[in-house]
Amino acid sequence: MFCVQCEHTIRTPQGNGCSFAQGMCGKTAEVSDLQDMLVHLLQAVSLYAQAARKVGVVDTEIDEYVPQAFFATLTNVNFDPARIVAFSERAEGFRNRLKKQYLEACKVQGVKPEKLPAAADYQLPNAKAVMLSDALQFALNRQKKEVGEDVIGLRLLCLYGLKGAAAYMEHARVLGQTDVEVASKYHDFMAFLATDPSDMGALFQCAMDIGMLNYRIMQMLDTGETESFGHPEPTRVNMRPVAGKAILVSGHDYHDLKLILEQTEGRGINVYTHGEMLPAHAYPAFKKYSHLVGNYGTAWQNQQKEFAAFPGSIVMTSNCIINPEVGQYGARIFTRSIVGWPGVVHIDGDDFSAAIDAALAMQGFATDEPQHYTTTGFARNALMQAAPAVIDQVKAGNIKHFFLIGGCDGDKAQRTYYTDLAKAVPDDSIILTLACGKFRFNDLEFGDINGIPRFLDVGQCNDAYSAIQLALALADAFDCGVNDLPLSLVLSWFEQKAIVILLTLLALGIRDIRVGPTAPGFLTPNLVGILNQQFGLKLISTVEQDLNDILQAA
Amino acid sequence: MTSSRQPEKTDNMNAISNPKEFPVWQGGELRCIARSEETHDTASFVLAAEMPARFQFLPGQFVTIGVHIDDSVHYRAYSISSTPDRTDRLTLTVRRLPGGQVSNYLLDHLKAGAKVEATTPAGEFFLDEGVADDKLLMLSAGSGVTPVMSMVRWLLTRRPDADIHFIYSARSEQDIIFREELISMAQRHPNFRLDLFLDNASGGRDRHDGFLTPERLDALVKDAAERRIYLCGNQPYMDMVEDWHQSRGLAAGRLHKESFKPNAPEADPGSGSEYQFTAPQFGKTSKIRDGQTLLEIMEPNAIPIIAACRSGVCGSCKCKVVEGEVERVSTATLTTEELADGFVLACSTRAKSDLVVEMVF
Repeated sequence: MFCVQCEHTIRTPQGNGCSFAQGMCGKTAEVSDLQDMLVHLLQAVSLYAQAARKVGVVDTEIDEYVPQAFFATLTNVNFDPARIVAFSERAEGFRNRLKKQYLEACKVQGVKPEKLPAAADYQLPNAKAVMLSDALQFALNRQKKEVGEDVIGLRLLCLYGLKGAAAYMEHARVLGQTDVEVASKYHDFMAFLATDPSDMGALFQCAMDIGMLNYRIMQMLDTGETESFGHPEPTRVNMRPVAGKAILVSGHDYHDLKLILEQTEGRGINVYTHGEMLPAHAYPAFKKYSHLVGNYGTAWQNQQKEFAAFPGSIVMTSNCIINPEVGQYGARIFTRSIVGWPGVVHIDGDDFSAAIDAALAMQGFATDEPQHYTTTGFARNALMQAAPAVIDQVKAGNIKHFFLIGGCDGDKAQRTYYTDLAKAVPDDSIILTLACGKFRFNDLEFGDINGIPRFLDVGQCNDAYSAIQLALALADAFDCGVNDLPLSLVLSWFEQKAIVILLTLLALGIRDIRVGPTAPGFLTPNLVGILNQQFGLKLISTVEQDLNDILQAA
Repeated sequence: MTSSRQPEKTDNMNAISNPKEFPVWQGGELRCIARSEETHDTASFVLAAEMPARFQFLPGQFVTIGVHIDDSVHYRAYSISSTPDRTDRLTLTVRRLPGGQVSNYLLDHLKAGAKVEATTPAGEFFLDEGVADDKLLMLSAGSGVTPVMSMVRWLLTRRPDADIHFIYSARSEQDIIFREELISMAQRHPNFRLDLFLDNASGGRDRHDGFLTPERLDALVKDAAERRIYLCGNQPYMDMVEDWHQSRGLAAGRLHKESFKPNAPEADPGSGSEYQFTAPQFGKTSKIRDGQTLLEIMEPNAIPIIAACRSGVCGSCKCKVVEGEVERVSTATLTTEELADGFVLACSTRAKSDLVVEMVF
């Protein structure tokens, strides 16, 4: 195996990446290799999809399938080898269908079929042992010796960034948002990466183009969420349990939460959000359910302890899942969509009876715990509505700086930096946050500046789109560029969604972003240097040093 | 005394006649075409590709082997001991680790005709063919000799004038891997000096009784500053040499080491005593032999533990010894507080008494 896609990857002086029996996430070498093979097959699909489009063949079912299957290879999504093989078999079937459609269209139009790279026609072996043997040649660090570490690093920056974009495409698709042009660009990038490109300029441009594509995808997802569930409104959310039977809904998929709320209504079950599902409380479509009682737990890395103590069933709608056997709740956790864990019941279709029955069979919470609240829901509309008041306070000198402190959480000890930073920013600063990194400080009291809360939870990771809209509005109001605003982005990353959001911000020209707790393992020091030179991208250092540098530069 | 046996020849042995014409091997299945016993617990396996292919690697690199055991594939990395000049085959030299799943499997089952899966050669510990140094110091211990052997085999063919001082540590005369070949090299090449450190060594000026120490290195290698050094062995051995190297003010850039050797730590043969291993969280109780690692018991008992590197580097198999005595071979990534609280790395911690172990999450 070779996998270097998450922040947790093994790092040694000899090189970065999990390349032995298991990944640091618990993914076995078998699953990792099968995922490499799936990526190879998805690239084969894209090679044919790209060629087919040139003769007018567009197969939207296939367009919608490929990002979904690609999503299964993100960190902490699918650990089930049988499911990965099934995704690969379906990908091969779709590739064959596209190939047939393509060749028929060429024949009808009198066009000579293109000679595609050999990867386009890879035949999936029948036996898993042969798949694993084949998969060795698809390792993502192949050709390292020939092309060098920088090229491999850029290839991975593109591939991992595209994985993040694919995940958001799938989230948007669930909400009815698809776009043929977006799908075309996705295929272009996958097909390009299938050729093992080694031109650093072309790869760098590809990374920026993926970032711009993701901006459009986040916009689609924003549309899907607001059209389906309304515009989020600032909402106080109880972070403590209340007495009664319980279901916990984790991941990012609001559509699943809606189905669960509908199916549990009147059943005597309280529904809780977990992790990235917390911002759901701010949407009108969910606020109307009185049995959506609060949020339970914190960020994904604490789930083994928190889920073990949860006296009900748990539904994992998307990333991040980690080994449920450690906390021995494998029998009462259920996976959805692209998520998988060997032996865990997977819910296909829209019937959540299995999870509901499991919740009813459990004792639930015996008592109410003292309530403790956080506020969420400062998404696009709420921010835009607040913008005039915010601008007034900036002009009056009462708000001097904005910090966006957010991103993925993780279990590295140095992530206390983000808590310490949030505590240390001056009182005349506003803190915007998003994604599960917020759990590092969203239980703290930050107060307000003349009625404007100092702590604004924008939402999920994809709601970076809302934060960008606020930045653009402020830049417009002050007649300056976004980089001229007293706005500092201090991001935490763990996996590929964070990578693509970073690419989006860089592609939009946003400079001087700080990232931590460490640089992605696939970026060489040279590549980090280039990103620093071109975008002022920096790694976090100490709170004192960074805060001093940020405020002096402002 | 153990002598090397001739490889068991098969019909496939000369199947590849002109390997320079073949494409570079990209990983996949390899067939064992010959096997030779190096010592009582170490064997060399000569592997060839099923289809004509050319192996391309640097002396010192390794491949990761995958074998199917009990319906799952187990992977371990093994250094290549053959010279890159033999492009039609790879030789891996594997030492049996008591309780080591893959090494035991290979030594018990891999014979001429059998197949294994393997990745392309990799690794950052290699002899740089472009480096012009002709004075080299090769330091190795135990099975750490394998990558170094690849280097000297290549050197003696390509750069016969290279001045090589080869210092190797083994438990006994019977445990010297490549014994005959090393002795032959020393006899045939005046620029190849061999020194062997053995427990209870006897006979010959090149035999030294006991451990290699900084003082003995000073005495043996008076021109260390002029030599490029290649180092591979167990962690205490590597630590000793690195401390010596640093304390003598030798140039850091001239010491190359296989500091991350992706194999399980050298197994401890133990006293033969058996203890009770308990993981109350999971309702598991099992026997554990003196010297066995915790991981060797936890995995077969389906205790959900992640063991990514299995060599005490990554820290993924952290767990807590609540009761009992253990020997910690590696404590990498553990903080002082965690060590004080009884945390260990399961892959690098050996049982020394009855144990109660917890997963803390």
